[in-house]
Amino acid sequence: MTDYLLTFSGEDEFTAEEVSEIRHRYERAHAPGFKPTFVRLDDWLDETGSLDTLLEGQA
Amino acid sequence: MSNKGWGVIAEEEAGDELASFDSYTQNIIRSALNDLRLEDDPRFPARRPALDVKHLEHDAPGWFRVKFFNRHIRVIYRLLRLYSDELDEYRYDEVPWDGDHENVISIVQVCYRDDMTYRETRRRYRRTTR
Repeated sequence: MTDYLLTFSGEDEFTAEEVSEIRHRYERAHAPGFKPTFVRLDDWLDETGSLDTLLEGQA
Repeated sequence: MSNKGWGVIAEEEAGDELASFDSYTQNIIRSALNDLRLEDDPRFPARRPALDVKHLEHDAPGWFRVKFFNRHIRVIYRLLRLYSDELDEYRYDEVPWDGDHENVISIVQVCYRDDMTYRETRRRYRRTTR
C-alpha cells in the first residue's frame, strides 16, 4: 500500500501533510483492534427491517 | 462469498444521512446496494456493469462511489473484512476472499453531489483513524 500511496504524493490533490496523514490512516486502519462504530443495513436491504429501527438500535 | 453476497454496514453518520432521504430515494439506493452486494467484487461490478461505480483515486484512494442515473446522489463506500473483534480494509490491489471473516460493504457517506461533497469525503478519509 505504501507504494500505492506514494504515487499520490506528487498529485496536486494532496499536500505533503495530507499524504502523511493518509499514510498514518492506513497504518492505523490495519492495526489490530481498530473498529469504527457502524450499523448493519442487511435487514433494511432485505426489507425485513426499517432504517429508523436499525438506527435506533445503534444508539 | 455467501449466496446472499456481501454484508452491508453504514459507518458513523452515514446511516443518518441515508435516513434523511425520502423513501423513494432510499428505495433507489437500496436497489443499487442490493445489486452491489451480489457482486464478487463490489468495486468492479461485473453482474451489473451498468452500475456507475468509480474509484475516488484523488480524493480517497481505495474508496469508491456509486452514482445514480439522472440524480445527483452519491454513495461512497469501502470494502472491509469484519472479524469478531476487529476489521481490516481491503486494499485497492487486494482481491476479496472468503475466510475467517465477513466481507462487508461499508458505506461511509451518502449525499447529494455538490462542491463540498468530496471535501467532506476527504475529511472522513483522514478521520477514519482518529
